[in-house]
Amino acid sequence: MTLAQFSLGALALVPLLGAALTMVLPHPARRALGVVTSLLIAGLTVPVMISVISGELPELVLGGFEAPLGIHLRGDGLAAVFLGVTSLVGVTITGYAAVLPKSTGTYLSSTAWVPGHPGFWPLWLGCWSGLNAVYLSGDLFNLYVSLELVGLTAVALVALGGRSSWEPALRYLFIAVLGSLMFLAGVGLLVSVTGTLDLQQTRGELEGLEDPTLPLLALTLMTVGLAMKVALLPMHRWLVPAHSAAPSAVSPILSGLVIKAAMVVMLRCWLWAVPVLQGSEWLAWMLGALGAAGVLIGSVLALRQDRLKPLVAYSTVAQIGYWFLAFPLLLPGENDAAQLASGAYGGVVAMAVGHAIAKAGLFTAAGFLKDRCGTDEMSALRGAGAHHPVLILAMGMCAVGLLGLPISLGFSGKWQLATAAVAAEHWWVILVVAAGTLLSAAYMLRGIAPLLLQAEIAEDAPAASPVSVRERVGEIAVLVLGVATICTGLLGAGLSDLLEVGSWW
Amino acid sequence: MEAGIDIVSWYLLIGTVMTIFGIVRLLLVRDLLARLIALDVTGIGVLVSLVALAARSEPTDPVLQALVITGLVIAVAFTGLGAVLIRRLEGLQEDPPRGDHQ
Amino acid sequence: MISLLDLGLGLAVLAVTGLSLIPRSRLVISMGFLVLGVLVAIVWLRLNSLDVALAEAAIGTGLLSGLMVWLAVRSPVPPGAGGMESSPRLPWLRPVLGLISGTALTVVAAAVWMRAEHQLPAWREPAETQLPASGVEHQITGVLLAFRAYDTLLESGILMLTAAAVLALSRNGGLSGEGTRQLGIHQIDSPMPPVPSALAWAARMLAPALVLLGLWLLFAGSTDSGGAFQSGAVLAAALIMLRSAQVDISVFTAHWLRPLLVGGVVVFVLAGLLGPVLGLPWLSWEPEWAFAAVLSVEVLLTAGITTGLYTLFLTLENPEGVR
Repeated sequence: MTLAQFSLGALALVPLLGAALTMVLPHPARRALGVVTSLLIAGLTVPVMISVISGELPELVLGGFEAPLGIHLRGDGLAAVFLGVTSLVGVTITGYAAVLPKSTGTYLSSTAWVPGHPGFWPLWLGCWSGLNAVYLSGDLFNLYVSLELVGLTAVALVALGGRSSWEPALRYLFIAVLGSLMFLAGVGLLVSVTGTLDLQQTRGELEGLEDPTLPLLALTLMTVGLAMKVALLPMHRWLVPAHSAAPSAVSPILSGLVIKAAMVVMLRCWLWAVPVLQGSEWLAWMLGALGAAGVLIGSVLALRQDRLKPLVAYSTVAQIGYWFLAFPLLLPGENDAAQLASGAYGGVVAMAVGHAIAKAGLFTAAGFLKDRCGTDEMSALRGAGAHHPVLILAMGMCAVGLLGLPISLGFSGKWQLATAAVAAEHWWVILVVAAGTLLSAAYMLRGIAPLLLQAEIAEDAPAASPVSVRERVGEIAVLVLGVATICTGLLGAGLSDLLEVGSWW
Repeated sequence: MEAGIDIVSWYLLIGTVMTIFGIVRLLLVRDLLARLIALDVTGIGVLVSLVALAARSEPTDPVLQALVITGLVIAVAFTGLGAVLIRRLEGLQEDPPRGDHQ
Repeated sequence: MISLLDLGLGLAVLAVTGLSLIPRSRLVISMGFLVLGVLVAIVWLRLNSLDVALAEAAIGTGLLSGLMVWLAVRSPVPPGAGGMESSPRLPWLRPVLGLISGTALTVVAAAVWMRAEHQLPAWREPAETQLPASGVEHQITGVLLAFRAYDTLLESGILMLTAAAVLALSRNGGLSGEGTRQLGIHQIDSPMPPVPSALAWAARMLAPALVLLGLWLLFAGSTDSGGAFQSGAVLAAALIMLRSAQVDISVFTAHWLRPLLVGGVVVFVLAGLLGPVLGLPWLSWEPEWAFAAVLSVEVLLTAGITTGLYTLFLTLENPEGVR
């Protein structure tokens, strides 16, 4: 067994072991173990990345039982890219939470609500385990179990925010579980005609099938279920309360990583498990239309917010729309289909990865300001930037990524998408991307500009308490994400080579 | 096998009806406990379909049965979390917090 | 043709599904759900799935409905404004819409099911030929603990983390209290509502029997129907009964709940690591020690499932700051 194969199994199981151990340790040791585990996961990602970059496809047959009986883990290009970004964001957020424990929520002691929730550590490590399991899984039922692991820990993480977060958490629970049950129903339908759960074998069996009705119904069910979990408009209404009520260290995990897990499963369904079906065009067009609506409506709603965290959450709704714009392009058209589809696919992945880093940074910054000033009302945050120049710089870098300005990954993603759209003569995609970019510039300005304004003279100005060393370190964590937003843009070209490994074509 | 397909289809149909009406009720009802029960009915409906699929082969397929047992445990997990959240929320509404928190 | 028994059973399931979805009373729907659990267990017996029927009886009917009934009894009427009210104008609109869309979807789905060219699972042969290598004789246990052990491991992780989540919603974040290494949640010490003495007496009598049944299910699992999940559910039920009968198990809870909760997952992962240490893939068991590995994993997993399920009930009571 090679090191890369070892890492495939360890990437899901080591964080789970860490989660179990953090439950029985006393508090300071718990935090230390969390940081050590996060570094270990990042270290385990490296062998998989190296192996994929050198063009190999690491594959692990768990227990030595070959599919269809057993489960295969596959570290293909898509998995490697998301493993990498999850490690980057995960390590940074872990560091942030370890340095600023009050960002992990509030709990009820014998007398009062106390900031700094001990339950954050097992739940976050468990969530990370589920994320890695989703990326690597090559089995439909295992995808369901991993999705539930991600979903339930994510709901629990939202609920760490104290009283006001319980209602959004429960709402999120209903949607997340309903989405995965619909996915499971689709899996059941597929199994009845394929007799296997393995992704590759499912595709092979479905290609030999004459009647596309049943796989089409299965694909529809899975798509609707996953779209709920990704929060594609009009199924986005749970996202804003959940992501804004969550504790400061949790919102970036939810917006940056958790919705990406459902997006990865969506891509696995459309591109790996189910071959191109007759009649799936309308579904792809529907997703494209909803994506366009998401970009426009999400941006307009973001513009109308008065508080920073809901604004950032609505911006997530808008960004989700971009990923679905590409779905009509993923189907083969008349002219050079494969290249076009791979271009659109590369665009989706680049935008999703860019969003993961940039949005994690922006949400951490918003949470930082909320923790420090006690509110995220933008009118109350006027002038807060004067005391946090590093934070404002980092927020600006993240905003560049979300706007899709050169040289961020957001830019190369939009560029690839636009190129594919021009080649397919889908001009409307260009229009939506342009309008979305303008609108996002407007709401980013609305979010960040008040921080830079001169504060009105008031006695209870937020500057009252001096900035502690820990808070300075926390700002550095946001800066790391900001710099990463810009620097990963340089990897844009390498990204499409990476995605070639183990791709469906 | 030929004689068995009818009972399989019958229970597949019942599982489907449970799933669909569970979803519909979940989306329409506002009471939290009714929602949680609708979610569980949906889950059990999906599992009934899976067991019906397992019963196509003779003897009943062990892999699909094992998946259903896994699914049942996951159902208990999300129901438990949902139930505790509902209790806490309704505890809040029975006695609204004084303005002193946070 | 389907027999009259199946026809009747299916229609009864549909009727009770309606009973657990449609009525407005919380008590009625939770009782409906309880009956649904019993009926579904019978359906699974009809479909020759004894293991699933056992799991449904223990987990589905026993624990799931238990949770629902508990909630319904504690607050029979949803507190707060407008919990059960339908929309003020056109009160019939929602049910009618629901009925129409549900029926339409059912017709579509049924049509697709009927037209499907079914294919039997491709894993039947390998499941039989590779069973000896798994260390157990019962096929379903083999699937759960060898062939698809990864799913089972992640799923026990889900249960463990759900327990962590409900503990996190309790006092002290559900972990150690101030200045102590014991579990710090309030529910351990808070008394249960008093029950009639006959009921308490019955629960004390029944609990040892349940423990025996649970242990039998656990050790039968390697050769016959039964296994960690069914056993864990029955043992958790025994703990819940003891607590309801006001038997003091708070010392056990304070000291052993968390270690037992995580023990199953920890040992499962470490056993999975034995494979890579010996140069095999993750989660491989060598035939020589497969039985020992599977058995120790199963025993600790049962302890983990028992405590996990018990924790879900334990934390239902609200801490004082909330009420």
